[in-house]
Amino acid sequence: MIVMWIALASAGPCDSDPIATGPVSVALRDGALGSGRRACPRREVGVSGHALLLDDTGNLNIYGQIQLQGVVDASVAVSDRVEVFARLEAIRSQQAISLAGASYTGLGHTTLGVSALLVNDVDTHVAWLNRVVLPTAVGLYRNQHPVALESGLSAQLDVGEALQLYGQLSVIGSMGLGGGPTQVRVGLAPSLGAELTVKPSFGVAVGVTSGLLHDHPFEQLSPQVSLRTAIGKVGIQLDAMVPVTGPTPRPLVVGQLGATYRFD
Amino acid sequence: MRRVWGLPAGLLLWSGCGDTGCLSGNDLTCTVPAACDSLAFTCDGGTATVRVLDSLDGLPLSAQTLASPGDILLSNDHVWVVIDALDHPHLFSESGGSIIDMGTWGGAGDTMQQAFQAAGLLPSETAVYTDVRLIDEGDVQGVQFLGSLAGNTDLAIATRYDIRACEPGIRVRTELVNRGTIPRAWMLLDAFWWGGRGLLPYSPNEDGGFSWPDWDLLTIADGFVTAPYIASGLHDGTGASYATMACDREDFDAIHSESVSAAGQAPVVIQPRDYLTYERFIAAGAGPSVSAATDPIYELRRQLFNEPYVTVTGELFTGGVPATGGALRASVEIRADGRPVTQVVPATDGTFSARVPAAAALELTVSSFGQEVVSFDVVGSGSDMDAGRLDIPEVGALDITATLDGEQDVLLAFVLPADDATEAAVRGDVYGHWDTCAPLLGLPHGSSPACNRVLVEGPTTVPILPGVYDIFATAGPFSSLGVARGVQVTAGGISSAQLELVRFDLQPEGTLSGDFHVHGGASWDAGMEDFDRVRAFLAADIDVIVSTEHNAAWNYADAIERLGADSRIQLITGTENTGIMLFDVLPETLIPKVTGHWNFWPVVFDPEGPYRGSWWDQKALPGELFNRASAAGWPASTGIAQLNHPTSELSVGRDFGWADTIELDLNRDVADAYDGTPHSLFADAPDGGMRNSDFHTTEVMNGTSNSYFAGYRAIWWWMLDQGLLRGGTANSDSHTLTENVLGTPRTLVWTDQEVGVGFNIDRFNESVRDGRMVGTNGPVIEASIVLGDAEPRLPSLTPFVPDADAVLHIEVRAAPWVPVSEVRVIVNGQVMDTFTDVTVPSDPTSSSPDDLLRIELDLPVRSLLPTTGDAWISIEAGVAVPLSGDLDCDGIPDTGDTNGDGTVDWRDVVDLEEEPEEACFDDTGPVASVGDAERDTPLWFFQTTVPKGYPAAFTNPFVFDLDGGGFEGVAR
Repeated sequence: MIVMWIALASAGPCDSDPIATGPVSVALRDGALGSGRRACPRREVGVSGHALLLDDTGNLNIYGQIQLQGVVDASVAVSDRVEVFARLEAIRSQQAISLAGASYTGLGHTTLGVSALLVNDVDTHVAWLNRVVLPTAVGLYRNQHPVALESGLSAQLDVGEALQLYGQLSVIGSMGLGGGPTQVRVGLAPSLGAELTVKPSFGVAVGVTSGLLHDHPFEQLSPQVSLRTAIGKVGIQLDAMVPVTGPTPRPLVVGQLGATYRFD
Repeated sequence: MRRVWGLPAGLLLWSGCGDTGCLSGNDLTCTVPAACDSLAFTCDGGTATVRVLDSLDGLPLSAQTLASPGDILLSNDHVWVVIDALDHPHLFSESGGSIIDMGTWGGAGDTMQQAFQAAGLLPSETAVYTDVRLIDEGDVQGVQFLGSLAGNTDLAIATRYDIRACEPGIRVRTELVNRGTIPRAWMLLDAFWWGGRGLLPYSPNEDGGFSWPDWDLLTIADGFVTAPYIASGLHDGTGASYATMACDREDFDAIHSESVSAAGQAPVVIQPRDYLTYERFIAAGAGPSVSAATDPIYELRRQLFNEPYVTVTGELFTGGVPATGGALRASVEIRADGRPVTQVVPATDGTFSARVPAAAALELTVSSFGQEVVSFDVVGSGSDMDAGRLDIPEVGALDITATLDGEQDVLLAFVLPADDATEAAVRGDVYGHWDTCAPLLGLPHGSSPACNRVLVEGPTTVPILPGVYDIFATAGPFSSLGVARGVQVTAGGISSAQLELVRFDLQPEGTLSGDFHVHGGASWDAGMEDFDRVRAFLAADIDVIVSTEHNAAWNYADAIERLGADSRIQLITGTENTGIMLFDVLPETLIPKVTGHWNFWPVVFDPEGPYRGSWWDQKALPGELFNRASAAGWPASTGIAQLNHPTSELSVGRDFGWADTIELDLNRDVADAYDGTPHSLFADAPDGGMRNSDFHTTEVMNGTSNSYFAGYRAIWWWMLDQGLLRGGTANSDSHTLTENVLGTPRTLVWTDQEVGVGFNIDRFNESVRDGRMVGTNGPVIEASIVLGDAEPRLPSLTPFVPDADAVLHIEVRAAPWVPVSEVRVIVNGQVMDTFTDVTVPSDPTSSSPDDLLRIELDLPVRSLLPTTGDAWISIEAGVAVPLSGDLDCDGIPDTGDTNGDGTVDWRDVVDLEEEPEEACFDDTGPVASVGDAERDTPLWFFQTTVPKGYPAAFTNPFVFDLDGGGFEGVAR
């Protein structure tokens, strides 16, 4: 149903290659809040696997966490400039490593979004990006349900035949719904980087992302890398991110491996 | 547009207006909702109050009661509960806010050790409260604590305790919120610390009852069972039993051991902003029956979950009379449709009554003297049931009379099977817990009789299973062995045993015998009441007792006065600082530890102090403990700080010995300060005050079995070699009649003090600090260095320069039942010579004073000493120390020759199935033991009253300043 809907939608303007483009999209926060997203609208559907490893073992504490997610995402360019997209953690497995241990396996978060190109020059694309993360991981929450919103700008700038710079700055906010703490948190999620694309079938992107004010004044600084390729209309990407500074505990590494079918 | 704005408005409504309790923020004015709202109890004239205690007047105090002014008392017409004040934390809690006392009015005293909240097993998962507020809501009286997990304010916890009129316990609600940014794994629960030798947990799940899965810290997930409630009972005496159940769910998850139960929610992932709540009821009932506490639980379950219950009644008879005599005489466990549901001890008239689920079939299983004796099936009818009169097998009785020097006195008698058939027939245990005893005369860790022992004072009659028995008694190691062998006991009959003991003139003139490590009912792991504890003091025929309760002080004043014991025993109040709260003993450590156990005396007993005169003794290195003790009034310049059992096995995941905590390596020299290695903490000054090594004595013998003697003396010898002159003591560490025999071993102290009025503790301690001592569990060593007519020089830590012609004179004496096969002369930590030409008494049961001297030696001192450097000499006597090996290469013997092949290697290590590749093993042990001796051998006679022990004695050292420059240790 979703695939048919996507197939009927119109194509995007940036290019027609299936290879991924724009910021490294590996996500640190639930529902991919604040993660990098391309400016260019596309019509595609994808699946990906995500992993996050967190280690809070230290002085008198034994705690770690492994998160694995199977994600389905889709986007539709509803016009030359506007894209709507959705991301569903179809399965989320969360394993807490402690003396007693605890785990969750079930449905994860759902993200809905819309982006609109504000600038669409030959070599400059700037989009207004908006996301909402919905609390659909119903078995994960005991009493309190989180929601999150994001609004920001995502820009891609062609600076050469194969080289593109990108940047993204979002305002992110989240809160809890239920009888517990609302804890409205607002902050910034900046990303910056470059991608080198050897068309039509290979690309690499490197960048850095951070977070400000949402969880901490300065949350983390995370180098990112993405290896991208395409086979036919299927784009494949392998992304990784390693938070290197910022308050602890923070994830040791976050990664994703995904495949996307582009209809355009 | 309406839809656009409608969503945020709805979200705000959802997030805001539903807020209750203290979940939403750090607002100290918040109020946690009352728990278990749908419960209702009614009665005539019920009352409920909450108040801050300003005195202990009116409280039914016992040795186990910890209440002190400043604590919070919740009280109604049924029960009283004490929650400790924020600045009076106890045991596992870094702050107050935990239940430390709970009893029933007019019924049962306090047997609650501690109940506290936690979200896991680690120190970082324990509630630390910082705010307290009393709640007065008319009929509901309560107290609320706000805080966090281990001080991490992102992990907020709030607990409210409520009491209402007519209720058989208290209601509790806890809220735990993850205000942080990463998910957590929590199990919100109450942890109940039973102590290990008192209350026994009970779990009404299939295959449960008094049984539960084994688990440890690394396998805790395997230990959880799901049950509708948990309880505890089967204790000795007149204390309370307890039960708890969740109000907000029909079943909860629980784990149990003999020491601890935890009940609440199994581990779950808690996302940021998410929270857990837990509502429960904690009930108390009078007496040892589990049913005393579970009866009200069944009413709760009827109200909350519409579960019907019935009351089953009956009468237990034996030989035509009511089966009474405590939990060991007759204990009825009841199963409903195959599931254990409760346990009840018959009243003095043999009747019993307990609420159980309205089930189709009930099974009543009666245990007597630690054995299941009969089961009865009762068909359920949906209404109350009378099981009628139930008969259990008849037993006999043993009437024991014992005299000391022809006079009636308190003596400790051991009842042993006289043959293998009796051994097999009478062996029993308490539902598989604690010691297995043959025969089991009483709860192993309760008052007399306990296990196979009984305090005899005049004709003393004990019920006992039929069989043939040998009865032995001593009045400590310096009396003869009272013997009555082959006493036949028949069902329904009364047999007599007459024991006659004489006191030998073995204790050297000018000495007092002391036991500097003794526990009683004020310790959380000793369920013995004061009266019998003091009778055990008397039975040991000992002069000085240092009472060293765990984390508290106690003086036994009432019992001593009742028994008129103050003229026979000099009781010095002390305390054992016992490491319970795990903390970062080693900087940057992953594994939290404790710093072992430390005795201090004298301590000024404070009957209303939160620790009864002791001090908060957790999360402190030894040097910090010494400073805290000094600040609390312990006289650092004249008192004693003692290193207890320096090495041992872990106990409840905690290091028992300081040497283990710091991985002491006897192959290395002592370091002046911490250098980054655990070993170097030994003499470090942690806060710039006293050093960790500023203690005065160390235990060289601890416990009646003396199994760690080789390790303790190796550590002591290392200290002496290093120039750290510390006195060596020998102490029983007795907790009950079963957990070590009081006064065995003991320390003989040469002192000018006498027991009674005028006893000067400082003068006595002066002798102890100077090492004028011999430790023994039987052999008496009198060693002195003599030269002509000069005053003989006794063992002492004061160095001296020996005359060239000085002679070491050694005499070893012992009661006939104490085997002595060798005397060892130790010089600078090496056995220099062993003398085996000792006299062996022909009759271990002899009362003749002519059989005492075993050997007499005169050795030229200079021939024993090295030609250069300082030196020390210690003398040992007894039988050969069991063969030990040091398999982890730290210089401390850790493994015995368990397979008896004459060598100690990996094959002796219980946890090894193949030889490790590395030369030094991670796994070691068990330590050397002589085991149980064969019947009628000399060692068997010794072990009749010194279970699993072997004779051993040691002198403190003679310290020689050979170079005249002061003693600075010896060449190693």
